Amino acid sequence: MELLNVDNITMKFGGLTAVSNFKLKISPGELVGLIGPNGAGKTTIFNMITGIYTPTINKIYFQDRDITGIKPDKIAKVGIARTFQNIRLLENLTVLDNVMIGFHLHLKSNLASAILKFPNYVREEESIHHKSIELLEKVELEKFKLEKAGSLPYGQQRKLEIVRALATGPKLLLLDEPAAGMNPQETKELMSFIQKIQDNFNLTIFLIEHDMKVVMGICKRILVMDYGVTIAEGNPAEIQNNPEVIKAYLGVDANYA
Amino acid sequence: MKKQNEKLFTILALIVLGILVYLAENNLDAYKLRILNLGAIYVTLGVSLNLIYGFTGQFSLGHAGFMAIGAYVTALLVLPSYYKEMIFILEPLVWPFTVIQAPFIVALLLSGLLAALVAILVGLPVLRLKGDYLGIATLGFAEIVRIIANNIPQVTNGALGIKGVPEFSNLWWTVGVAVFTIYIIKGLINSSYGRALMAIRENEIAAEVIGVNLTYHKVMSFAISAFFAGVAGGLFACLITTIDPRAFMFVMTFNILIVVVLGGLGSITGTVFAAFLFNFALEYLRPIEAGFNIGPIIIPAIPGLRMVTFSALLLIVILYMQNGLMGGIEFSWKGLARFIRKIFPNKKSSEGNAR
Amino acid sequence: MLSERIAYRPLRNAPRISVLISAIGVSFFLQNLAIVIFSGIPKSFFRPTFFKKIIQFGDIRIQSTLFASVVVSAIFLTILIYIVYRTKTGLAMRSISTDIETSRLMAVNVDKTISITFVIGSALAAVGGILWGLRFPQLFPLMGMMPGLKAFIAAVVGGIGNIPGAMLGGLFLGMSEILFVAFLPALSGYRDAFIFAILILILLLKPDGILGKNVQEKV
Repeated sequence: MELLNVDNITMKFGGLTAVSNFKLKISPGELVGLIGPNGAGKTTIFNMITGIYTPTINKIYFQDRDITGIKPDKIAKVGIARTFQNIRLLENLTVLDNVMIGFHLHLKSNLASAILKFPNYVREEESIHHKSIELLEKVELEKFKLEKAGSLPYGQQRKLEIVRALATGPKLLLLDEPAAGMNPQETKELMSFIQKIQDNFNLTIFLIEHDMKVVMGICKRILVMDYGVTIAEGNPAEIQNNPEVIKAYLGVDANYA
Repeated sequence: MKKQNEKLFTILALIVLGILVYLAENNLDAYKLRILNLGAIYVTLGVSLNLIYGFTGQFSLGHAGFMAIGAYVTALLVLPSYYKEMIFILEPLVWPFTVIQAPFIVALLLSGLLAALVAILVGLPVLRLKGDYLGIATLGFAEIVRIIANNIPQVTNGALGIKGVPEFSNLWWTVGVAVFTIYIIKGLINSSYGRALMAIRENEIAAEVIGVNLTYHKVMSFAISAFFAGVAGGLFACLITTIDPRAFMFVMTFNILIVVVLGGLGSITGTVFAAFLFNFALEYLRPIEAGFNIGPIIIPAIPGLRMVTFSALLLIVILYMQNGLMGGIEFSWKGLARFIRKIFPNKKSSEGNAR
Repeated sequence: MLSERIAYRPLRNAPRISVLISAIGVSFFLQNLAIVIFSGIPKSFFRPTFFKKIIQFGDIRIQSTLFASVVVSAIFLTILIYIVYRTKTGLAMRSISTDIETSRLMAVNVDKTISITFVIGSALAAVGGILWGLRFPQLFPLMGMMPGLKAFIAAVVGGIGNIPGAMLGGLFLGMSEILFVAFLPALSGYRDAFIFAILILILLLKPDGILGKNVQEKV
């Protein structure tokens, strides 16, 4: 059973075609990478899957359900979470709040019981608090829990954004350039972090990256895009030797035996 | 500090407040009471505006509109029928207002509910707008309400307004409503829904992707804010006993906005202080108009000097205290305890540590 | 210029709303100052005889003030468009509105440019005030409130940051108001409400104004 089926979608913004005939099927438990030069349309794909854009042509299916054009908050409820290229944290809220908000979509208590602090709400709030602390401990961010999210160092901010996504309890996690701006040490930690969370949380992961160490290191399957079109698909070895890929990144005259 | 202790302190504080209100009601003259009542009403107005603007980040300039709705509804429900027949001289009051009469608290509740309903209807389309555009749209809404009030004499008595509204508002009501408003809005803010609202303020796109339904949360916040503005409008009508459309021009919303910004966006404590400060300042600057002396310089009586000075003072505060009076800090029993411990380090605790 | 240095410049880094409050504070201050200095009683505006003439085109009679308004507006707006879109100062203004820090890095004198902008804006407002006074010769200190509000609405309707748009917005607003009163005289009490309703409608259909740039946030 495939988890995600992106069925030949095309995205046009007025006269500009950002993405053309993109197909992808992801099975549960996979770790798939998406690479390509800047402007290739990678984030647009993410935006379409998460409901920020609606594909101009064709549909997207998640667990056999048509999720094309569903709004982002419903997409989150269905089980898809994502992080952003330029980190979108809730900067003036505490680290703890940033994680706790991730649990809001599963809240069962209604508004009145939340305002008036009925016992059923109080129990849920405590459980959210507890689970959020647990998540923060797993990534060693617990000591920052009362700091403002915007005051964390860059690498920690990235981790926090991933943790917030995990709080929503997703089945599919989309990571948009998680290693951007990281030094080699942080990148290594990130790679093992991603693999750890995949095991611990039973996730399927789809990531966009420019850092080839990360992509070749942890992705089992890679897609390459250029100018809105998929130009190659395969395992890391295949991709590294694909002439089209080399041309796209390095130009026509590059010579790689 | 244990949760039970906090609750205890809050109850004690409320009792003290009750005693203060009792003393004030029975000993102060009407002039001072009027200012205190206005202060309390502004607390309700300020805290409700803070909910939609300071906490949810939606720049709404429509507060006067909701106040107006509340004021008219309360006035119409609270006045006896024969009286209404008398004062509606432009055009006879339309049925069913001629026959309905309701007790004060029912009128207030209905005012709030109607304001909230209008907020939902208006908010659904309009809250899609952002920033300045939302500001103007809501401002437009408030002006439309005012202009309609001016033009439907069969309901509102048009430009003549409604005079002789019974003076039901006293400190028990105004302070009571203010306390209730703070209780509810604080309860909302310190909950998962409150976090969702602040998430919308911080980063709308991120909030949506985390699963926060933008429309539901924005409209909910807008409606609750409007509810309290409507109730405040009703209290206002029964305080100054006269309402006419001119009371609800943009200046009114602007005043509330000043209170909220002065106190600090997102600080309920700040709003409480600012509400009273604002009203005291406005009143106590009146003597300036009668002329006074600064040392050898004699300043003659100039009408209007009060507003000039007020505007100047306002500008000074805005310029030099950019995060509001409280700097965004919120009052809490824990915070107070920490503050006291800093000033009066407890001998016992330091001895305990030494052992 | 004074108000800019005293009341607006210190607030450059403050939350945006403080600037709005400061601006409105300044406007209240000036208006109340006018009340103090000139007293609240309406005065009449001095009109040179030239403006009192009425010109006739066949059956249509037009006040000469109308011509004056149109001609003067056209002249000043042309000058303004020239300044904003064809001079270095104008370029500086537009770049500051896009990104203030980068403009500084590009050797734009931000303070001076913002001052100039305010001077031009206030001067034009004064011209508008004079034209208004010619048409409605009664002067009183609070006369600017409604026109000021409508000016802001016209700017938003036309698209913030877009001068031809603001022009169009102003024209559109003025025409709509007059046409509304002409065709529905019974509802003339609602003329301002009508303006606001149009405003809201336009914002809902075209959130960035008629000619506004659709600057989408990059996700």
